[in-house]
Amino acid sequence: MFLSLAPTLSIAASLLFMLVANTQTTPVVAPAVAPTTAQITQNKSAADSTVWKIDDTHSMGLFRVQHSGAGMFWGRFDGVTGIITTSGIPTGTLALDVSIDTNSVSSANKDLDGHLRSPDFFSVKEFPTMTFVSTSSKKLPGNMWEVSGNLTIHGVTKSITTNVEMTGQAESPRGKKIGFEAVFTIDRSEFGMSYGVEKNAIGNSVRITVALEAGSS
Amino acid sequence: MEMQILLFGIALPSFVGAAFGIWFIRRKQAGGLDCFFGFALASALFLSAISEESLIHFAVLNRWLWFPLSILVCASIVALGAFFTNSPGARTLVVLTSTISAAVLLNIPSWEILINRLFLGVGAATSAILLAQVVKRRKNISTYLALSLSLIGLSVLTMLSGFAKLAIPIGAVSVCLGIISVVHVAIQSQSLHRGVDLSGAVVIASIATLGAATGFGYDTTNLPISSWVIAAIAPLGLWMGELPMIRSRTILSAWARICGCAILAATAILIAALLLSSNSHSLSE
Repeated sequence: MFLSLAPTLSIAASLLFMLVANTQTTPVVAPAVAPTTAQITQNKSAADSTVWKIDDTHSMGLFRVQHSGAGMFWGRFDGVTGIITTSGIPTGTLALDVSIDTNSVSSANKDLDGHLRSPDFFSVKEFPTMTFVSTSSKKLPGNMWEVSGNLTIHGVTKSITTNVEMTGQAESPRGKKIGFEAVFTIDRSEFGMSYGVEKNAIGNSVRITVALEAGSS
Repeated sequence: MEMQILLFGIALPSFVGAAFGIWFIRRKQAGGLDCFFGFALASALFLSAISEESLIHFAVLNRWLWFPLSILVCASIVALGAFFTNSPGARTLVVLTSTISAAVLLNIPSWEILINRLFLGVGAATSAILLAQVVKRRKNISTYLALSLSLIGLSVLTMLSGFAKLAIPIGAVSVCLGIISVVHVAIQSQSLHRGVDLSGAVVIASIATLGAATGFGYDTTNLPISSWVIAAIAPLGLWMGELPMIRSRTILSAWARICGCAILAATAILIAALLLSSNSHSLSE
């Protein structure tokens, strides 16, 4: 009897596991933010607000993490895109919608770059972007704002609050330019990136610096 | 910290896998538990994988963990199937079911399309059937050693692609097979001559095939596909020992089996290393 039942049992078991596999959810990854003409027009029509398109050539993300409990390892991201909406600069509100292409990670070492792109860290094939979308802002003294928003890295979204500094504003024949910089620290294990944390090979705390330059047409 | 990776990622899982593997092989006389040998190897892979990664939200955040899980499912199906049936036709069906189930579970980048995963499963089944044919011909140390070398190739290739978390579990299975071969030499027990058998062949072929598919799926260093394919079929290097002029000579055949697997593994690594080296040159120029 067992002889005849064995293949049937095997197939039934496999079908059960296939069903389980099909119930897995696909991670919700925030899409890359690219401002549309309609979006810019609509935002511009709002009173006193200006929409700035982030200049990906002159914007970058930097990160710093401790290696082997000793030195600090630095890496950078190019491919920073998105929009910044200001209202009543220098006293008004600030809204950020920033997306970073994780595949643009660079450490000036090709082998390390491959490791950083792998599922050990950013898993760029599964999570091609990381995003920050602000939800509120508060003006602080000087050129500073306190901005709260949702940071999505590695498919995990967490609410964070960070100070953002306006580094400068200029007008040229090519149009208006504005610059911002934010520095904040995250625990990468909270975003599902725990490789090397328990073994203290690579630190858990990561300091992130985002430097933005944006233009208004 | 490297010591901790060696201990929890490789040493402990491979010792647990080897201990269960040897126990299952020696249980043959007591009731045919050798068909769980593959399950012991799959356990080593799974234990090593979860030592690197939390299982919390693994389906969403760490989808690569479907690979060790799929191998565990494959090992369970083939163990139960092989335990309950001896008919060659039914066993072939069990092999197909186990490898296709494992491939379907492998929901990772580059393999999202179901039909591709079905083809992958059929490929793994073909490799498993060919491997099962050759492992049952000679049940000696050369089989364990050759299979251990073949998986080292895939582990190194995966490491070259930058995916350490996948390289370590595959390396753990390789060490597990190495430990069994050492025990085989040390004990010289006839009971260990039962060999890898069907379950072991299916699990090793699945690890090689689906492991290469996983490494390829996540690879961002653009290693050539030929490297992944050669690494996937490296265990079939055992067939070198069955060449007409060699197979009648026991010692020569044993060396040929080891060399066959080692050559395929080394070729896969060499192709990848040459490509990475040439890319480095072009970047520095």
